[in-house]
Amino acid sequence: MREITFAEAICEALLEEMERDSTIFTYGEDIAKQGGIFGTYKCILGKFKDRIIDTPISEEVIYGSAVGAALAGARPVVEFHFADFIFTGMCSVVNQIMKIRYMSGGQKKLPIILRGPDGIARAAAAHHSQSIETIFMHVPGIKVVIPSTPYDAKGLMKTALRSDDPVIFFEHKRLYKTKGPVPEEEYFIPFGKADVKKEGKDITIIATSRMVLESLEAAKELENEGISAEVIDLRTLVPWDKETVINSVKKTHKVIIAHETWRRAGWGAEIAATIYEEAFEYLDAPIKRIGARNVPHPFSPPLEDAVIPHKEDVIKAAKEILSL
Amino acid sequence: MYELLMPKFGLTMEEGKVERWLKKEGEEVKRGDAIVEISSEKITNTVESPVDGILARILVKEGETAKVGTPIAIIALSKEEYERIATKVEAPQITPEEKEAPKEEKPLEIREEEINASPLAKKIARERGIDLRLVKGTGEGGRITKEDVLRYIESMEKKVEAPAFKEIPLTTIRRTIAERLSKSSHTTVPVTETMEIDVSELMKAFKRIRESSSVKISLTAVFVKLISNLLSEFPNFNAHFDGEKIKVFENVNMGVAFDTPDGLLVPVIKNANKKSLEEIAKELLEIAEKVESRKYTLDDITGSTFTITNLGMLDVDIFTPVINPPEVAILGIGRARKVPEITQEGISFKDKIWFSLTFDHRVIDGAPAARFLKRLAELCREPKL
Amino acid sequence: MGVNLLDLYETMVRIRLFDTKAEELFLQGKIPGFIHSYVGEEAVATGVSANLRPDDYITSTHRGHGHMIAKGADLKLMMAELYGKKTGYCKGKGGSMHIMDFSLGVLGANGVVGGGIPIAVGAGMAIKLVRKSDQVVVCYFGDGASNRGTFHEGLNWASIYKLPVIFVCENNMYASTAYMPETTSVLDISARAVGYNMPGISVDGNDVLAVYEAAKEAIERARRGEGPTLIEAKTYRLKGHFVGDPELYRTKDEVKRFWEKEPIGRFEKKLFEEGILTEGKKREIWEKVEKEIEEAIRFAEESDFPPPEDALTDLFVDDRGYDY
Repeated sequence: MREITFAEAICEALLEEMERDSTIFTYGEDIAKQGGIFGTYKCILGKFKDRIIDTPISEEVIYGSAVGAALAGARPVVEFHFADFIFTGMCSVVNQIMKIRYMSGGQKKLPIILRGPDGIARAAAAHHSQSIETIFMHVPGIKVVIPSTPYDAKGLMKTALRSDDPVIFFEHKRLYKTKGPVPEEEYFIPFGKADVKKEGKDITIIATSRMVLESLEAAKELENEGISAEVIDLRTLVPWDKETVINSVKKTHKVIIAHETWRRAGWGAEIAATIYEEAFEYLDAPIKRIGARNVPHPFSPPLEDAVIPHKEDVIKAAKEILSL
Repeated sequence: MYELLMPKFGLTMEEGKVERWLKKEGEEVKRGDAIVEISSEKITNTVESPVDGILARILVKEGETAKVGTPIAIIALSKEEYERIATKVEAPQITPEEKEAPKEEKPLEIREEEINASPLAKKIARERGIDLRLVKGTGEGGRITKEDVLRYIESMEKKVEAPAFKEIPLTTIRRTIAERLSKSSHTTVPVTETMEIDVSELMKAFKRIRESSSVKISLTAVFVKLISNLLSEFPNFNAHFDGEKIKVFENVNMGVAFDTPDGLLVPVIKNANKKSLEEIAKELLEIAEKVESRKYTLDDITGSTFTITNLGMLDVDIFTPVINPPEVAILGIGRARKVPEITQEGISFKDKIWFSLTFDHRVIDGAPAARFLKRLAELCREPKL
Repeated sequence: MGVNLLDLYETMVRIRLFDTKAEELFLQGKIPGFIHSYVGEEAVATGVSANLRPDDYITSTHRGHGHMIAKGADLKLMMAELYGKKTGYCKGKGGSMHIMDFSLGVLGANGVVGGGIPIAVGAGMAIKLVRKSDQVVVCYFGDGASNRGTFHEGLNWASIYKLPVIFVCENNMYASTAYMPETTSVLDISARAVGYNMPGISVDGNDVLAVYEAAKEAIERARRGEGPTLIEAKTYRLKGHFVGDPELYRTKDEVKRFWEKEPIGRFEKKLFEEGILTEGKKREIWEKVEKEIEEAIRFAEESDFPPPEDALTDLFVDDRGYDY
């Protein structure tokens, strides 16, 4: 099968759907002239006049306008430039996008996609490195997608582009250039369906985005020491695939949850609490959570490395649980 | 922390005496180390430590006794724990009087939630009846994991190879038998008297009748008839007793103990004293058939006023039958055999049977029972069938 | 003049009576939550809406009953929503402050001051880029919202893309308790249009015909694709910020003076003078509207409350993601 990058996979989904559906239009900062800062718009440059738009740096309107556009029959795809900047338009996201349909008593569909980069790059410091997906899992009203591979990125983006609900789609900066097999044929990946990236029987590692890759590396090294780790990629956090998680817990009885966002009150806490509630007596050890240390992302590379989680943290946690 | 309990050696042991402590307080003990010698009525045994730790407190001194299951020592599982327990001991100065007083609370008992074990380990332990205090944890921080429990169970299974058995659920009939007999044993005061009786004449009469009769007549039928006649002379034996009143019956409903594949059954020949031998024989045959095909009714097996039980065909001579409550007596019939008898005429062979009469001494005394048997002997010598 | 003056009169009466009645019912404890009365400002929504087609859009505010009624909303559904009933516009999920009727082009009253501005801009984007129609969007907001970022972002945005949006600022002199001249850098909010390179006009917001004329010009310009306009309608909030407001921030004298300038009396006088309205006709209109409102109240009171399980519907189209 051909291999394309994560960024190309996103663009391809957008291209295919924009060709099919003339109500889709996409806008944001710095997208129309060079194809987006991470190349996610390259393949559609020059193809759709007036449907790919550079906007002023006016985040309240960038997000809030999506509501008006959707209610007026369009399917806006909004780039948030950097996840960090969502906060500058947060009222429009949380109070309008995430509530309008409910407050209206479900009068209309609200097909809106907010998408863009999150996570660390390298020495981008605290205003360009954050992973903020948990916030959107906490406040009800938006589907949260956070893929780890080009294949998943395309299939989930295709689904998002046909979803009738608001979707926030996080693409990790470190993943944009990663390559992976993506079929030429059309396919869709449903929301709320986790992917077992690697099967195993001794311990379950639940992760998303970059931490899936780190966890797979960790699992490979653990395998050399005779430990069989199962790696589950949740892929979407709202809704999240409880069934796959609980079934894996019932099999391995030991759990690590790994995310790049902060450990304190990160989404791993929600997953862990659910496991404790619903599979307590299947646990053979306390669940371990791996996440960023509870500080803003520092600039200097050694400091940055000290704050964000790596595969070594996963390996260490696994060995602690298995008391090796 | 681990509490060493007074062990139970053998079924009947209720308390044990500490003969000798083989370890001192503060001394380290390894799992399997001999720790104390305990004696019961018959034997002296060495008790091994089931855990690794430090003998923190001896609760029962040498020469003292303690009830089975009460703590006799505390073993600390870690140094910190030892220090904690050891200081606890120093605190209260126990006077001999206080020591006499039974301790009501047991503050040193370990609750399940205090054991460092995973939820899964606890679940398995609960399901399999494992005392987690005996399981060594190998998980993080000494936590007992699933593996630890499974390993422990495996080791226990190897150690104690229980004799093979299979569980048989109680059938209704078995349960009834159990209930009735245990009731009998709890309420009656049974005494059994036995007598060897010459039945030569009876046997001759029996053979004669059997050959001439159109009905197949069994020896049991003969005894039903004979004993029904006897009971007319001893009405106090044909009675029920409920602990307060004796009910004496005019007619004899003769219970006949049957051995069936399902267990003991006692069908009843109603008004046996009024029936002819042939009628009785016929009824017995019918009942045997009903019992065989499990088609008997409740009426067929209730209402007896006296019971006979015949084990002669199984070569038993003497036994102690159990009274079928609320009846007051039961007659056991042994095997018929030829016994040489020396008289002035010389040696001759007689047919003889041991009869075993069990009666409830609360309502029947020994002498009337003896007279009952003696009269039975007479009837056998001159049978009127 | 292409508008029926008696229709304007009747609409204003309808708004006045609805909000007067709503205030009464609120004080009787029949309506939960808050009520923000539009009494005194009826000429604005009436004058603007008289220029709108059914397929035009509006975005409204927390003081939105007048905007809804002028756009042709069903009084029964409105009143039922105020009561929190299942039969209300939003099935009881919105309430007075958040009534919406997407089919009527009402893209929502909004609990966030200035929250509707990005939504209006987005609807304008959809009209221009996707619908390619001559529909327009009227964006109502108050003097308080003109100090929010959304106002400045939104006007800039509408201007650069020449969106068919008419920004109608209802300057009623108070943002909650804050006196407009004390919190705003200009006395004429229309002056701010200059900074966004669009026409700006201030009109007497208590003169329904002045509003009508200003809106007519702006709306026609928008339909021609010539972009947005900022209209400041100077009016006065005769009631408190909300029903039950102690109103310690202004004098009773001040309020009394403005009652003399209230829009219905003024317009009525003019209609009498010109012989368009007679006492008989007046009585007929008021009685007709009173009856409509009585019916609306009866409808609301006879309707059922939504069952508790309805709380878990209408967030997403597919009804997933409520729990996991």
